[in-house]
Amino acid sequence: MKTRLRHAFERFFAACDAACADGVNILILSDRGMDADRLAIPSLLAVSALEQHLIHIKKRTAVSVILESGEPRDTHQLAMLIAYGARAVNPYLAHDVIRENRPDDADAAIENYNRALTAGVLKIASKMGVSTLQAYQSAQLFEAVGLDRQFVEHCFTNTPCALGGKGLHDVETDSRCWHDGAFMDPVGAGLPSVGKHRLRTGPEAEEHLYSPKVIHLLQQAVWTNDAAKFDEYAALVENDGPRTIRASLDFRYDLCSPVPLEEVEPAEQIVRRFRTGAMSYGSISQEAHECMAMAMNRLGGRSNSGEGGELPERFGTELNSAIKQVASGRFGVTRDYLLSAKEIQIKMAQGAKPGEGGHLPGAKVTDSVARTRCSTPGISLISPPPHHDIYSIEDLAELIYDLQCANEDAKVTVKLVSSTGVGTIASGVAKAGAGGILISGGEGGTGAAPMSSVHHAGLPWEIGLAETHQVLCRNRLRQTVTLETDGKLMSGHDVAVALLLGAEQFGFATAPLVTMGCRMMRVCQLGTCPFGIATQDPELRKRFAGKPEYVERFMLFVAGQLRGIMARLGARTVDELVGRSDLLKVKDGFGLDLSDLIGFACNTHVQPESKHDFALSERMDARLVQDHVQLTTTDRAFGALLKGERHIQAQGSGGQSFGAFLPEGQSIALYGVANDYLGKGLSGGTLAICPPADAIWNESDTLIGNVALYGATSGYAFIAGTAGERFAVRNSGAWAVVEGVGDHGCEYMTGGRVAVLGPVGDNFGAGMSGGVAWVLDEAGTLESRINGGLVKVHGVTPEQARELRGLLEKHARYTDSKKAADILADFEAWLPKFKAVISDEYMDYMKRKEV
Amino acid sequence: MGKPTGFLEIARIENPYRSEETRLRDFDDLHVAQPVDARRAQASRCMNCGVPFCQSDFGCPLHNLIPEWNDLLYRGREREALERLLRTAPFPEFTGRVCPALCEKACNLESDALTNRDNELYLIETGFEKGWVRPRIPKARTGRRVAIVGSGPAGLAAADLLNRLGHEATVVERADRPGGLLMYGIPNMKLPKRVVERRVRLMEQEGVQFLLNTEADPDALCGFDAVLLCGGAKKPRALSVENADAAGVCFAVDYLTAATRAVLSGGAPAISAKDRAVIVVGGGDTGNDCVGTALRQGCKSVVQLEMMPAPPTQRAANNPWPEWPRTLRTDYGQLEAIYRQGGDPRVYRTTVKRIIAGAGSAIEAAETVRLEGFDPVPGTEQTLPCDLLLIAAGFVGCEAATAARFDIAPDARGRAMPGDGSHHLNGNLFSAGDMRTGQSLVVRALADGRAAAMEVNEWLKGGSV
Repeated sequence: MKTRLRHAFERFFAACDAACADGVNILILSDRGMDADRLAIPSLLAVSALEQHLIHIKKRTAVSVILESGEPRDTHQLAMLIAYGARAVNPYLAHDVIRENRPDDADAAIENYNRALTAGVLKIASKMGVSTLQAYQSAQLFEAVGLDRQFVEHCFTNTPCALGGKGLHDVETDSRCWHDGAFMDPVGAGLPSVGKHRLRTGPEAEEHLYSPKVIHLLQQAVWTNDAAKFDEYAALVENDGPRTIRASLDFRYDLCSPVPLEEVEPAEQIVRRFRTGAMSYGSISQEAHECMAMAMNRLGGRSNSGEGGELPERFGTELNSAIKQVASGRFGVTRDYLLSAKEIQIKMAQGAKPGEGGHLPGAKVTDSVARTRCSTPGISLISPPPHHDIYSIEDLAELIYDLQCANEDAKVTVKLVSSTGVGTIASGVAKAGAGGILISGGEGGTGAAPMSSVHHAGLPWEIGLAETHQVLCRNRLRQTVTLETDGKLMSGHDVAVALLLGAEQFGFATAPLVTMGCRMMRVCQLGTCPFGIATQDPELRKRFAGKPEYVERFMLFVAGQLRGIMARLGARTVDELVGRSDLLKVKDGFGLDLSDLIGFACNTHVQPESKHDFALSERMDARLVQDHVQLTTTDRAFGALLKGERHIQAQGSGGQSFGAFLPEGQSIALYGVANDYLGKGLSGGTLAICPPADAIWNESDTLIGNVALYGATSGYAFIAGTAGERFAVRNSGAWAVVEGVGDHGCEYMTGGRVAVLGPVGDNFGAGMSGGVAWVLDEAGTLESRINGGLVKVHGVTPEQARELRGLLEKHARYTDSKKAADILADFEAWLPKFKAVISDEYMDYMKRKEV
Repeated sequence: MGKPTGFLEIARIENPYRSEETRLRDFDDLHVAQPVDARRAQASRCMNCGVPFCQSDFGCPLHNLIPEWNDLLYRGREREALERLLRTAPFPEFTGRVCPALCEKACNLESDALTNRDNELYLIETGFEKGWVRPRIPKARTGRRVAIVGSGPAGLAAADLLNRLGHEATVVERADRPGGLLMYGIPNMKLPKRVVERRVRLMEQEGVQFLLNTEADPDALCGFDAVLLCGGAKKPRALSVENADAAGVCFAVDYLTAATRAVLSGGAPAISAKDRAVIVVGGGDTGNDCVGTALRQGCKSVVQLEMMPAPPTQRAANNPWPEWPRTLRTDYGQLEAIYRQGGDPRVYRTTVKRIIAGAGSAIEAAETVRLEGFDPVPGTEQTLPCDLLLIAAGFVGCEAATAARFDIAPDARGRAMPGDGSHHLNGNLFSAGDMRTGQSLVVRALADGRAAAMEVNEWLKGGSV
């Protein structure tokens, strides 16, 4: 009789205790003794349970645990092992496999593998804001989904677990199943292909939500306008697909008296609550992007531009995306872009890859994409993981305020990612004055996300949505915001579940793509999409066969199904059902504990009169008639409400976000100082900051705060003094002069020109793929200050010297800078002290342009 | 993952046939194999789809890991590719020749699909040539004995897998050679019989036993732990017209069997089309095989009658990708008839109304009639001279005699299919292949045979014996 896992643990702990008593301070756990008759305890379970045991017997800091196991092979598994207690891991089977496959250069190949794993683990740690491996060890930065709560408490103590499910017994059954499979595979050589990422069909394969049959039925339903086929598709998703949380939920029709279908609000009205997902132009083709915009505008719903900007000629037409996204890259976030929006969405993170930025490869940055993103054709674009102007909830509040000022009529919403604890963040967002909150689920698409993120990062929206709605209700904040959710919503059933859990608006992304022809190739990152969707290749774009009608039909079919459910639940309006999770129950036979998610009746939704009032009409710039003004630090985002051509002379202290999004035709000269975020998103305007004439002023004194010119797209900024940290981060087109900067200057810059007439801090030019920074390197220390990942230090070419001189002349004119006057007085003599910081890619681009 | 831009740069090229002139002179393999470079280039076109329809239920019934072995083939790792192929495909040398390639019809490249079937054939033939295909003898034996009745595709596939699972598999075959329809149903030019024999020899080396010239009898099989019936859907659909029993009227399978026997044993076939005016009733694959065989035997003329209208050349609106395309296909036999006779042998919406017999009640002519739907149109009768009328009108279920011997009651469609959709009939009796599902494709029979083998294995493991 084989030993049960429970008993194996007793023996295992006893052995560890004995070793500890003998004074051992390193325990090596190994599964090398496994054979056809003997199973190993799953490595993560062993490591974590031992960690908890050692804590319990107060030996945790006296003993280090090292794991030698055939199980771990990818970065996620390594990260879990380290985060749950392993101090070192030897993935020997992975090494053996490499050795077998690469007999000639095994050592080098294993070295590569180890390096890749290490980099991957560090990447995972960095996504959680942890920058050293030591800090990540035993950090337990994971959330369990569908594990029995007692089991988690026992073996993975303190790991959040929003829904209960499988326990030790199930783990044992799985282990035996895998073990037997490994030792008794009759079928043939090689491992089974289960199709975790790329689907496989057959007896050994895992199911996917988008199976061939689902894709085919959905496409046929919307292409031929066949509601019956759509119902067939939806039934397949709900009943035969993988068991999502929503698919394991059913409605408490038994508690309701139905109403006639005719009395339920019409589908045409319901679809106004529907949105398409944020997919940028650049990641998808112009045809696909415009097709969705057209469809949603016709329906009165909303399409989302994504983070890549939008061609200005689409503004104000049927092709305009009603939602304009503002993400960390701030690509194409111009004043006109913001003004074209009905809703401005701040993307804090992405459901499918929380904690990560993005990378648009140079090949996808065509002339048109570059124009849209205010960047340079052929040059890769990096979206940094965080917004560099948001390091706290107060910073987010500032951005909400700034954007609200930039477009008074738009609703400013914030996109968050589902997780346990998101309710707290959402409360902060609501208090910060956002008009809406989106809880995005981890099942959402992006075929281009890294594999480890697709499979292991992000959580189902059901968890985050239920918590957010409940927390907002309890804090009497729910009525101040609209609550939206997205993440593989596919049918009326899915929408109804989201509605009952608390959402009142609903986003769809993969499904609209499928209606437009996507068949889930999962090559979005390669640009070779054969359906003309995730590509910029003109030949492939010709293959695009999507039509707005298809997207419209999808939305109407979903709304139609929702109406049917509403009628049976006795609801005539969608609003009546928001947050009625008491009308949900777990389907029979599903061993899931969803008691944290369902069973609450808090039917609160947004109330127009409860919305946050920013009192914008009382702002200084809203009522400014004359051209002179005295400012104090409470005058935030000064300039955003100026209308028409204005040239303002200001005195005093500019508040935060001074001159944010200032458009062409406007200029502000400030004789004084300004706080953080000066010239945020500068859009063609001119800003000049200089010390007051009567000030006792030293050249190296700081004149403006941190994060100036973040996401600036065009315009000029002249600062006759030193700036704080992160100057001109993500600048894509503004020209600026400053007389010294702190750390991280010009990080992620993609265009424009920056002249620094003084010292620079560390990490200058990190991730800077475009634009030119001229630094007056009087001390000769520049080389030690730059981050050489992308950029190199060059001499200033004659062509650049002309540009630099022109820029300095302007600087001198606007600010009366003494430093600029000195340099211009003998420019040729000063020139050799200037160094140009330029990326190789941009250098090539400039050479091409010259030719 | 293959070559990301392969599908844009390289055109689909199928294995060509030998020219009509040369291939009509013999019964040898139709196809000309292409060199390795061409094969790798073709494999590079695979897009390694995130959702590969080719190996889904729309495509390959065996769920062959097509994107995986295409990628390996593209990279020149043929041996590994073959291993991947053999994980799911029992006999690629059969399917690589006769499969209608549902996978290709479900390929995301649609009409420009991958040449999976040709790639598959290349891999297995290379494997045989290089000695990579060797007997895989199971490490341990279970001591359980399973009899498989019938050695067609389902029987062979089931025997192969049961043997791998460690059971003792004995195939009982009525004919003198094993293979069922693979041996005597499909003509030699489409599936050379040496290929079938090669596989049977390999299976024998692996431990499968073949009892030939043996009629299966329940009493004789009482020593087996399980009996799996794979007797096929052998009952042909007959013509119910006047003089249907005239000499010179025969079923396609009998005709093709005689032809193959003659090819294998030499001598004249028992039924020959030589110098005769031939009418083939039925426009399917078997009908086409009859056309090709008749032409090789030197027939005077050949006409093929089809009740349905000619299918469209492009997919109809109600027949979208990735469904099986109901479009016009002109197969090798028809191409040969066009070459020889100057026109397509197929006559659509037409059937035989009456057989006109002459002296010695031998067929002299057939009276045909046009159909509107399934109704004859009066006044459209036509009399065609005919010395040999071959009925290739499909099959209507398993043989009544076999069913009776094993005391099973086939359903209305002649299938020995358990009501619960499984393969388990009763007691230790199982069924698979066409006998269970009704007339189908070789590849479906292979898949069903494997599924049945797994079920028998589970049943044997369950200790219910």
